[in-house]
Amino acid sequence: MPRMYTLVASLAAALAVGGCDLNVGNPNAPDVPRVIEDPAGLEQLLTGAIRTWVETRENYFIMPLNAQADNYTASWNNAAIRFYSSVGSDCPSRCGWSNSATAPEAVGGPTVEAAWYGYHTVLSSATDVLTAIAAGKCFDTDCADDTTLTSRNRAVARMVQGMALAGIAMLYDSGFAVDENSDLSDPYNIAFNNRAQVRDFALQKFNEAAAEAAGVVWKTGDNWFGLESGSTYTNVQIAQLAHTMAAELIALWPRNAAENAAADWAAVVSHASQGITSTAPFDFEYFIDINAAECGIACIKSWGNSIGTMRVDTRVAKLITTNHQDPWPNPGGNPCPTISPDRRVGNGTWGPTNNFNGYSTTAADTGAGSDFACSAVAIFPPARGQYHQSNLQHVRYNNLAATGERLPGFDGSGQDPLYTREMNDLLWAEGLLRSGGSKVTAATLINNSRVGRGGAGCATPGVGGCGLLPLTGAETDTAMYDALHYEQEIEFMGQGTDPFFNRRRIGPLTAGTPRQMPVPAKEMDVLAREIYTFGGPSGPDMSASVGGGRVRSVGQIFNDYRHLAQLLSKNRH
Amino acid sequence: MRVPQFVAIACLITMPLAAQDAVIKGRVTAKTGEALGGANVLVANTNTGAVTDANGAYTLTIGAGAVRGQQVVLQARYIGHKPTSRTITLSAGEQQQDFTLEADPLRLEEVVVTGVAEATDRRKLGFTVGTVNEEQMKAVPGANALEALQGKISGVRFVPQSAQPGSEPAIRLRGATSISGRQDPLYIVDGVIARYGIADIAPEDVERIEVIKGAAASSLYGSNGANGVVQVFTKRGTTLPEGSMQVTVRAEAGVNTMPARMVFSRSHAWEIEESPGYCAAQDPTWTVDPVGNYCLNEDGGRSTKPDGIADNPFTIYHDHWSSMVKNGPFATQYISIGQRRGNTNFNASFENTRNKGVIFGLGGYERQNARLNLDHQLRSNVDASFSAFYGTSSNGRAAEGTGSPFYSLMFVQPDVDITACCNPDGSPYIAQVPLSGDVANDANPMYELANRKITQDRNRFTGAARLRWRMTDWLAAEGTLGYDQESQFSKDLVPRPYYTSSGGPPDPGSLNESTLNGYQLNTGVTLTSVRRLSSAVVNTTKLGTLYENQRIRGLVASASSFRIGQVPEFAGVDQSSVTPGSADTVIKNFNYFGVTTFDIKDRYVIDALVRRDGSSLFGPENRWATYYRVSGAWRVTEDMRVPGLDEWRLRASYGTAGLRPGFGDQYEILSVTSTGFAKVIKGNPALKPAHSSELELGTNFDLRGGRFSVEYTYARKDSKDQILLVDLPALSAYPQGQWQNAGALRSNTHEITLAARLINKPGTGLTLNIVGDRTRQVITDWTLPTGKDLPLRLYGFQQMPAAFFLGPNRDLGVLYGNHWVRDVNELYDDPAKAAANGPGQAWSPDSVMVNEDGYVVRKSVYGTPNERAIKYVYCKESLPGGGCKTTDNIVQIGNANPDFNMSFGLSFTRSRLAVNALLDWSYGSDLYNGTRQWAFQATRDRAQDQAGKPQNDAACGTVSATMPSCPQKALGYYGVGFYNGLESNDFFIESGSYAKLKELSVSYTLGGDQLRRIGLLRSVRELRLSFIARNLFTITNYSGLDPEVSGLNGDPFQVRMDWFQYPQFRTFTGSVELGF
Repeated sequence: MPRMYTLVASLAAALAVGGCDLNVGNPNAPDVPRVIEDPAGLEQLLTGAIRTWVETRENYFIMPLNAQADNYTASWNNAAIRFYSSVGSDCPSRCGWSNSATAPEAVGGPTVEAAWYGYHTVLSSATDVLTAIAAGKCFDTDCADDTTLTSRNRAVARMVQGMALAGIAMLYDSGFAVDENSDLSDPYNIAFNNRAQVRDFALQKFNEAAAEAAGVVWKTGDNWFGLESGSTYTNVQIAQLAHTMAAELIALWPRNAAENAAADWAAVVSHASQGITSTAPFDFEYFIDINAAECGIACIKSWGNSIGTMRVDTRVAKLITTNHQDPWPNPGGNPCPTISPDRRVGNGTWGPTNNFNGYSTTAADTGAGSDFACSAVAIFPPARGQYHQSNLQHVRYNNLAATGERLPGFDGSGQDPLYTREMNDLLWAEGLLRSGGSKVTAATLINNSRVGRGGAGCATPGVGGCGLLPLTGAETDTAMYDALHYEQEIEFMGQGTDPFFNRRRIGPLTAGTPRQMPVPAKEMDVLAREIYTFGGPSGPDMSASVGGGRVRSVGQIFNDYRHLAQLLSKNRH
Repeated sequence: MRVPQFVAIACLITMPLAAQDAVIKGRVTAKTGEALGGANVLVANTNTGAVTDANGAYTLTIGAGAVRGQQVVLQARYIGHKPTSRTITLSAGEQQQDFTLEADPLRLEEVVVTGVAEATDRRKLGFTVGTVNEEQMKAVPGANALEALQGKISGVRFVPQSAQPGSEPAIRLRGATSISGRQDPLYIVDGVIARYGIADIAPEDVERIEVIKGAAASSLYGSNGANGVVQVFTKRGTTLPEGSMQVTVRAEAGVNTMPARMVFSRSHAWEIEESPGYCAAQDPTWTVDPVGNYCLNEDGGRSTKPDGIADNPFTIYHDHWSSMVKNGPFATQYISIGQRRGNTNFNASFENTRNKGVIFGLGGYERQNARLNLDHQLRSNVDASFSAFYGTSSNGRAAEGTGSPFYSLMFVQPDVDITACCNPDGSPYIAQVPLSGDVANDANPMYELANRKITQDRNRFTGAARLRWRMTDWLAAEGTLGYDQESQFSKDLVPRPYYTSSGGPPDPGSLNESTLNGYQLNTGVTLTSVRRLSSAVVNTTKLGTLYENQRIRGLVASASSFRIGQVPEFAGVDQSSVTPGSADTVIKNFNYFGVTTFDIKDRYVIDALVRRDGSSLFGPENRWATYYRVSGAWRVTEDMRVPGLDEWRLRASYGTAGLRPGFGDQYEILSVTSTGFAKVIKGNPALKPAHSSELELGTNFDLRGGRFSVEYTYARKDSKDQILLVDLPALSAYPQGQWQNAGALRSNTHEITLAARLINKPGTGLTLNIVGDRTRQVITDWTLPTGKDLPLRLYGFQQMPAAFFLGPNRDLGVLYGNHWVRDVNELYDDPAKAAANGPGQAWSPDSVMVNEDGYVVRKSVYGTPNERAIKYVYCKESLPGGGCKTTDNIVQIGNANPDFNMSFGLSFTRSRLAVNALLDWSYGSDLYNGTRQWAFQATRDRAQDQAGKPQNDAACGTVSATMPSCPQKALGYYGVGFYNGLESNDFFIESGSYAKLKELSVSYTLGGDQLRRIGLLRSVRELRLSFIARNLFTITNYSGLDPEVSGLNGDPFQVRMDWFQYPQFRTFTGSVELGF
């Protein structure tokens, strides 16, 4: 009997002792303390921020901006593309932002949220890195290379701060101009800065990044800009990149013609001239891996370059061809082949075989354009609005398109050029034109894409294109601007929402189209501040340089936009 | 030292009879005279007892040391009979004590063990404990043990999240306790906490299920108990007659069929060759499709008629539904062997089940189970029990939801022969859909079903051991050990090549494999005392501690591309496309509890409980939580006689229990991308369990000798400190926010159970069991800052319309969305329209009309392709000086909560014939038919078929004083209007009311005597032949396949959305059961 008592007592004691240790770690996901303590982890917080920035810049949920710019078009309502780009369907002209946290994807609830939270995540991670550097953290195990690594990572983190702030300044009317020196202990009670202040703070970060990068020789890590095949950049290139981004911010920040005229175009010239084409020209690119091929982190390019998914709006089609009409002529549509002198446009042939993937295409021949294809099938149901119909397809980034394309050699991965040489040159050229600089230099810069990619000119345009005539700088300002804007339409296409930013300042945009986003209702709810919105039949759209009125809205939705990444499958609605 | 009386009694029970011993002998029989083998004869308030043999005889010997001529209460118990007690004088020598037990057909006096200190007569409970017994389960064994609860206990509701064979339905006990999560109760099987569900358990193995529904009863289970507890007891040898062995062999086989079918449009709106040369006359480049008679434009595509009206019949109409849905076999074989002899008894069983479901091409569900339950008396005062279970199952499943075969079925046109063979590699069925470019999302569902292989294999081992030591006559100690292990392997293989509907280059396939291995170990020690404190008061007290350790490890790998075909493993994939993942979670819980019950004069029962819970799932700043319960019962009729009532009881209980956070909820989470980290969720070291408190009040009436019974219960649950993912300011940089304790939910439930033994004659019995409940649940506190006007959330899953709504002071389960105007006056709730409603103005009453479908439309577009219903808009916020500041168009459009649920169970026996039926009635709920909404994008929904309608007048499209008749609507009316870009709207809200005959069985039992008379099966004790039907038919106005449907994600009781699911089917079977 005593043995039984002993057994029970022992068991109870064992339970009491063993059960008291209730501390269990989480091995399944890293957290900031562990990341910061590990030099490699700290660096990956930075590289993760770069990836999140790419994902935010080309985010699924901000695709409607490209359709609002009448640049890409689609009548699918994924990400509320149809809702925001339709005319007179859900709203008398165009709908304003559904800045209601109750609004689901179908009416654009996540649209105003995606970039706001994405860029703030980027900003926070970069700031964490800078805070850790300030606290003496180094990036190798013995701090032997610390000076170089710290300098590199400080420079890149500064640039990433600028990238995040720039994204907010370009999209939203307000933001937070904060960095590692700001007191964020009470995030509920920090005042908004206006968009100009946020822009200027971003420019400050770009300048600091460029200055830091000029100091010590280094290059970025192997996998910083895409796994395995990601490019690396030297300290000089990073400085150049920071300048290009600064030029883009100043040039594309204006919401309307007045603000455009008031922009500091000389600063654009200054930055662009130090940008990625200033010495050895290069493209800033990010390698997209196969798992993102469906629509991972480069959704705008993935959708925009999928022949069954989005099309080039007839506004652009009419601009870059001589035989496509705007609006789309019902019911016959625009013809194939396309006629254009521009070799980027070509004759519309494309793909390895005729009728590739069933889209009534003609196999690529010598007249095929590099950027566009012509499909006899207008993919959208006409009942959903014929202004969505188009026969022209963007194919420049076809390697990033949805997996359904299955082009020869396609393996679902490739470089995503985020800032091309042509983009920098066109910003530079516009800076020169608008600041009274050299028109000859501007012409040369425009010709870098006009001729460099569009092909050497001939007098008589024809099928397949024989190129565009180069500019000399002797042309009228109007002709120069027309040529510039033509180039921007082509070269900015697919580059995040740059086509929207470009068009809102030089217009025209369809009436009612909002030109900037409000701080999301979800954020305003959390901060207990008044919700407002822009655009639509009653809201200010910033077509004139006046402040926006404030309209109360409601709510909160359940899913954060990151949850909704599951929506990226191509079931179309 | 004084030898405790009980020990003395117990020690001498099995000793050879001596002259001074007390020997009690007797027989236990039913009132009908039938010997009751396996009945227990006990000395009350001790565990001293004996079991009757097959003849009902027993012998109970008490050693001389315990025999002092004292009076003791001797009690006889047998399942389905009222216990009988008598006081006897314990004296040396032999005495005869026979018992005749009266039937208790409604089981009003049975004992329960769930939520209480010790086995307790249910008449002495301060709260309700629902039970389902073996007899009820035997009538219609469910596909799994859980289904046996359907319609038998009030307040227990089921919704299948998927009807695929092998799936376990979601269950909710009373109202919800969680705003954002599911409401699954805690499952305990033979003392083992079953974290991996109970779908593996063979229903034939179950002896009894007990259910407690909320904190008022479940405080004993602390932070695990807020959703209630379902405790399953499997068959043991303890119920067998002493010295007997029983063998049961059962075989059931039958067929699954679909009781409903999808109905589609049989017409289209494309241009056709109406007469020779018609197409060419429209456009010289047009040709004629020889198959479908369509006009094909120069690009080979179809063109929609100018009027957009789908009234052209398809020249070929394939019945896709019949191709995809096939009758499938259902079969189960079961054998059990049980024996009770001396100190040892056991029950062993084996079950084999196969359920093919009703969908073509799938492997279906197969399961093999083996179970052994063993009890052994180690010493006179020490009992040991062991249970072991092993189950293995495989399941060939279909994808569901968006992109699944059930989805593509809604889009593929009827003139596409989806059964046609084959693809270039010889694989069935043809993947390329002719003219696919004209219809989005169309694909051949048969191709996916035949070629994509989704399998899930599971192995389950459960073991339990219990040692009970009766230390004194009033004190017993018990040690328990439970172990539950599950290993799971899942595979989703899309082979290379995988052809596309467009006919483009085939997909290189994909592979996703995952393994999951988890175990749950629970071990505990309890001390239980049962003491008669005075002649009137018996106290039962239990002190205990319980330790739980759970670990789940998982490994997943996926590849998005195969390099070659026919190597369906990772050796064949493009290695650069491989993405691995793994997880390891460890959960530890440590709990103490004490519960005490005072039974005063058999008529007043007071119970109190306290439990202290520690869990690694709670944040380190809130590692421990305390729960308690106070309850009482008053057996009124023991104090005063009430004419006509055998028993009237009043009950009250108030208790608290909790819901534990998920494993990762307390931790900060960074996501790991291919190139770095990204912040996702902020950690919360202060996270604590959700807290649920419940007040339960009730009364019971038993009358007419236990033949009629009424039980009414009111329960109010308040569940606060909900575990919600709360948004944070953007500057906090965690885009998904933080799990916090916020928000509260209140539910009120009324439950009623009426049981009646309407016919109670020898050989004939008719029992009616009616259960009903009404539950209302309101979110009483919400996460957003106070002072906001309407802090609401709408949510959905996948791409489903976000119709589901969360907000303060609103019902949990309401649906919100657009409302289509049906009354002209509703138009003018929109300030913009009200401002333009004067004569001649844009929105004058003369400018609109109500069309044939009952929707307000503009006259100017009536009868044209642009005819559209109009969305309701209202002023949500007025300006101080008048006028409207903000308008909105989102309103409540439905409520998924039924007004009430009722179930009618009928059991009829006459001689050897038995009929059992269960009718389930749910009234007043709303469902969202998302399956139909998305299909409106294409042309296949039945509503779009205009062929059966009167033709539109020629004047359609013109406005006149007498508007023309234009009943035929263009596709845009549906596909642009009501489709609404997949935004939720009330066109797709339907009544979810139904009455369903869920179970019907007819059985005939031949006894051994009869069998022997006809010269059959000499060793057979009985032969039972049954016909069984499950889900026999449904009466409903719901246009989908089945109103018992829920979305594939979230809480199934809130997300009541039809969304491309595997359909519920019915089963007809016959069974033969032999007892040896």
